[in-house]
Amino acid sequence: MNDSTYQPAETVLDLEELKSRCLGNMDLVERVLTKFAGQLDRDLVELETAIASGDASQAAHLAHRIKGIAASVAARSLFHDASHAEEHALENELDELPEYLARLQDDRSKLIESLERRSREQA
Amino acid sequence: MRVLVVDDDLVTREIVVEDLKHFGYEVTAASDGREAFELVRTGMYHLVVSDWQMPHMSGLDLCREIRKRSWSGYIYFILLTLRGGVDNVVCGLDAGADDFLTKPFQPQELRMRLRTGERVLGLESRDLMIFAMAKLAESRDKDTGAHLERIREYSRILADELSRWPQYCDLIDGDYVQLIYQTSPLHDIGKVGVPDSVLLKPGPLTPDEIAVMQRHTLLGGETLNSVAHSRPEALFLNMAREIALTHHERYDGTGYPRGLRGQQIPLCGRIVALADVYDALTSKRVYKPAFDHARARGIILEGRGTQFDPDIVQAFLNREQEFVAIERQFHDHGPAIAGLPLAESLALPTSPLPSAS
Ligand SMILES: [Fe+2]
Repeated sequence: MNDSTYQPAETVLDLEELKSRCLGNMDLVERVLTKFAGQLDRDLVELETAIASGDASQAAHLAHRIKGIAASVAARSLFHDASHAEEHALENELDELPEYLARLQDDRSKLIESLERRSREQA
Repeated sequence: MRVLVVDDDLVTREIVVEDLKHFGYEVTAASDGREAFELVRTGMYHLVVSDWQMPHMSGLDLCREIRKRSWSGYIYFILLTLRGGVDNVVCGLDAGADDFLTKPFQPQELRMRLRTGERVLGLESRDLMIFAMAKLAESRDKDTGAHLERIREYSRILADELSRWPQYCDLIDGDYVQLIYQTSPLHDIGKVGVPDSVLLKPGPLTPDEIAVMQRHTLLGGETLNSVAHSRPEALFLNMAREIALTHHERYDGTGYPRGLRGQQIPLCGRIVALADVYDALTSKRVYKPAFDHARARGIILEGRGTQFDPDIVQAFLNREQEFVAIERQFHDHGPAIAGLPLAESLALPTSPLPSAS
């Protein structure tokens, strides 16, 4: 990731892509996003614990899972950062992980923000 | 069509499950390999879409476990991998996966892969039809029990053994083994042309009747030949024809119908010849009890180089424990894995002389 804080909305979450994966079923899109937000929060908490206790293999597993859900909802930055976190964890490079955790948390804030903006617009 | 979707990632799973329902599939979801394996064991699932990395039992291990066992039908297995991941497709192929799909994917891609799977399973239905035909032909010849189920297992074991020998590895590959498994049950298909008065005669046959009985090889060969001619690409018809025609030839040239000797007899015919005789020996007949393995083994050994190809006798010796296991598995019972629980499979095996039929 570069140092620019600007990211086009579809880098955070490509909603059109997600819609097409859900075959245009908006109910499904909503359900998936709710599940996604819940899963992401749980995984990030667990990832923080794993990093703090120096458990690289658990960290790799969690980063992999975050990567998976990110891929499914087309959350590109999150996917990208989770991929790097997984690579470092697999290489047992624990020192690198806090930085990626911070990026993932940042991705999460942006995602939640964009989801909230979206539901405000819809309301 | 039912599909089993296995993924510990609930987000992906939800999308896949709902998309497949939309396409008209009946979908069940599991969250790891262990749970999925229990579901597969119910026999209800022949299409599996599984994530690769999962806790408890990975998709790879699930696939391996499924391939280790015999099921009532083939199970088509699609592994999902994650783009840029460490998953190795070669490992997946080794584990027996049929196809791979990289996440994220468009629903239509998965739909196409599943269609391919359905086509493969459809071909398997063709194999079941072949077997049903063989069963039907055999049904006049009462009380042969699970003869066909055993024949194809014995033939498969012998071919598999030979495929591991350097001098046979060019002749026999996995396809050949599969083909002989599918076509060996048709060896006696020509018996449909033998009249009841001969086929079902309780007493000994006159020389004329023996000649009529022996014609089942030619009848079967000719019938399958005419079909094979119109479909030259259908390799199984060719092998079925060779087996029907030559499974009563003897290695020393004293068999029927043509008195071929040694390598003149197609390999598949030489293999089924031994399988057929072993089964006749270990089955009960009106004129004899079922011989135990040791006695049947002795008779087979006596025929080494005269009735049977010495290599095939050796293959039999190398794998004899599996013959014993198959004989036990299908002994006086219906097919355990054939998926065709026909009534005649439950009857006691009693049939005319193997050498005269
Ligand atoms: Fe025969």
